[in-house]
Amino acid sequence: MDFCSGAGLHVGHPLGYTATDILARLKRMQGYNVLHPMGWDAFGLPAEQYAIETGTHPKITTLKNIDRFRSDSILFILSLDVYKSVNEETWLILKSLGFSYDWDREISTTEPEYYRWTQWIFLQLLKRGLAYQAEVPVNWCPALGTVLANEEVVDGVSERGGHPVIRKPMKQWMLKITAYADRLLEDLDDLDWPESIKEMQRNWIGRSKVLRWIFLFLAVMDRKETQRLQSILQTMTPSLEQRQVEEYTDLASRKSDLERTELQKEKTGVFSGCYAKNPVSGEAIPIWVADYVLGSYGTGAIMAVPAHDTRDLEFASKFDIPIRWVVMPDDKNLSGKAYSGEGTVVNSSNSTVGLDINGLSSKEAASKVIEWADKTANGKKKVNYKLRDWLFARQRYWGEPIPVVFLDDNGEIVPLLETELPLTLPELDDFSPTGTGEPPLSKSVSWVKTKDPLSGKPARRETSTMPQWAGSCWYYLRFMDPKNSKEVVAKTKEMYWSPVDVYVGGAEHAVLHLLYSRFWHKVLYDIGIVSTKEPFKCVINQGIILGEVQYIAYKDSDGNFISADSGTSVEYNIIKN
Amino acid sequence: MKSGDSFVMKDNPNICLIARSHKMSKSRGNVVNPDDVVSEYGADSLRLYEMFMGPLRDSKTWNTSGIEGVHRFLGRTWRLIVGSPLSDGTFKDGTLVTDEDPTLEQLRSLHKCIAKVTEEIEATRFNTGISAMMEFLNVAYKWKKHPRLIIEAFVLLLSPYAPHMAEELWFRLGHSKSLAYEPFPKADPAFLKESTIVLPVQINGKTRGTIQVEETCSEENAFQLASRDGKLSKYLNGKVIKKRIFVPGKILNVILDLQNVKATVR
Repeated sequence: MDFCSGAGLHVGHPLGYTATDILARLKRMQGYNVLHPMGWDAFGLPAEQYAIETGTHPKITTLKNIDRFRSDSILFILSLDVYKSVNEETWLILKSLGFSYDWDREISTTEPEYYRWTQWIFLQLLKRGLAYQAEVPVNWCPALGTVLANEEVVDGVSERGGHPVIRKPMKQWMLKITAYADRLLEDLDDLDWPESIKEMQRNWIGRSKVLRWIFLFLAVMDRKETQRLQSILQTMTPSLEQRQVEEYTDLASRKSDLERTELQKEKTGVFSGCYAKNPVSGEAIPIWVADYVLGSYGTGAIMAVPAHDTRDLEFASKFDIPIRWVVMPDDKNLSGKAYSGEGTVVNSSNSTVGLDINGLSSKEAASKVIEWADKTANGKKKVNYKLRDWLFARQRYWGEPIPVVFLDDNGEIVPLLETELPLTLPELDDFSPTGTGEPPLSKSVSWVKTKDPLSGKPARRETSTMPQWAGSCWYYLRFMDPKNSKEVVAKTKEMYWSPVDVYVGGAEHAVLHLLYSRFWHKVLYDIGIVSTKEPFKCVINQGIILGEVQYIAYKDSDGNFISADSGTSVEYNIIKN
Repeated sequence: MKSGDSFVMKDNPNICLIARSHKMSKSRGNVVNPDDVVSEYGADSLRLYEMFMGPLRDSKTWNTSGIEGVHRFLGRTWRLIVGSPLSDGTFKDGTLVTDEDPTLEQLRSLHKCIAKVTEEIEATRFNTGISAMMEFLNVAYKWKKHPRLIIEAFVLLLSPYAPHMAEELWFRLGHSKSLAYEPFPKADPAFLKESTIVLPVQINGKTRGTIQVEETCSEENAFQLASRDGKLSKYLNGKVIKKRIFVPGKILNVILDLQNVKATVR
């Protein structure tokens, strides 16, 4: 599948296509039925930005574009790559390189006959409570007038144009990918995928067993769940600290999650002026506000353990917070670095509450503490995930319309009838973002104003569109049965071809496209549309092709060439060899 | 210019340079356009080069002069089958292939190549599949005659990588339909066996050494080889042989007449 978005095809792009083509040709000659198709996936921000910058309608810049492949004991070989290109040009190059695609199966995710089924899948998600609206903090870019994905934010500014981006709560469509967290994690084990991608998905899902403590605010005399930390802080924080905390949180809201959690970044934070009581030792623990802990992780409040966590140690060292060792490695060798391994517990007893875990192994100690916390109601066992629900709406024009309406009188969400699909994207002369956060589609008044199909009550259409990942979540299924007007894919065809045997694609979508499509596939499996638990049996990441080697020579201030390793500051010029 | 581990200036080798490569991007001006490569070297050269650069999964550095290597390989393949160009640069119709039976050596080279190319494509090690075809071509250039059976199979082997040239050669070989659905050649294990084997040699039942022989070697040949072998000759030279036991492909046992040996010493 080709992601077409703009100009600039280079020789790195045909790499994956050539590989799948060679495999397809070999398998065909060995007597297999090979499905090796090509398709175009052009919805989304990159294509739209290109269109805005060049003043061309995205429909024209994305006229032609698709790729993929498959084989009699059946082989389905799929190639996915990301390159930016005007489609006509791309198409000609693909033809000139002799890729043996089945052009009868050419599909485009931006065609209504295709996105009709993308919308249909959305309705199935909605029906099962897997799509919902919620108020969540998003990357809002006031200058571009839109929400941006985390990947589109670099160092607190938008990747395109370098405009500031802030975290702002907005009502958004969400897909409940978290409901599939366990299956997405466990089914990874049997896949023939690069270990690095599997590991990235595991880390992204980030399942861990934790103990959720209930802390007592020392200044507050009754028990509070840490969940309500922020509101308590606001009421409790002394006025001087309150200003600092506000300034700090404002600054932190301009950073993306990715930046905040980057390991090598220097830790920042402010003291809130409050203390909490350690439920076991009874000691007062200072409460700090720091952006390296994400609000979405657990309750958003963590018990920092500087001696045994690298990031906590960096933080504590920077702000002179006492460090206490509670786990001693078996070789008794504390290097001064945070020690996160197993060992023997020290410095951990409190006769008042009757808990002594000194001398136990860290594993035994953990279960004893959990038992104690459970019994005394000081805490609860929990399974925690780093995975968040998928933000599924964009305030942009170039995407699949979301097939729901809101009733005028009470705002109730009413899904469109399946027979009304596709809900086509209306033509708009000016499709640039409005700047107010109101999606561009709201400008198409006659399209927005509609009626509830069943009751006939006046209603408004949803004006946000789906993100660029939606159409590519399931396109491999459509290649099996591209012209079916009755269903996503006919059962017999799906049974014949599924799953995709070989999938060649870049590694850049490890936790986006490759996770999202697994999620949709599992939902489709649950409702009986597909017969396999996983969409892609074998994934291969092709490497990057770097540009020609450049040789750089250095000159000193007199203009004489000097050695690159001489260490003085110099101007340089590039010699192409 | 390369000097030791670092790059230096040609004019002044005392000056070290830094060599690095970047992702292709418009802003760096280091984008290589596939269209340009196709018009200069042809689509097959581009396909072949992309695969030959290195393992599919690794990052690699583009090197336009590298494409000349695979381009030459395709040119040599063409000339091996079609012949040298005429004075006006065109080629005679048809091919140079002959209709006689291939020799054992030719079959062995071909089937080694079939086995390797099949195995490498299936394991997505496309680059080493090309190396196997290059090796075959070097060997094939030493042959005086090029039997059709060998050449047709080789063209089929090449076709997934370089379909355009392979189709053209296929038509010149007298076919009227595309090769895309021709059965891919299968490696015959009979031709994959090493042609020589290591044969143990015993003297009076004791293994004294080994000799390298053709698998089909006769008893007399094996004995002659053993007699000339540096290690074995001292046991055999000037001795009276009582009996020779030979199991083809397995063992040669020489029984000496010990009585006569003693007699000689006396």
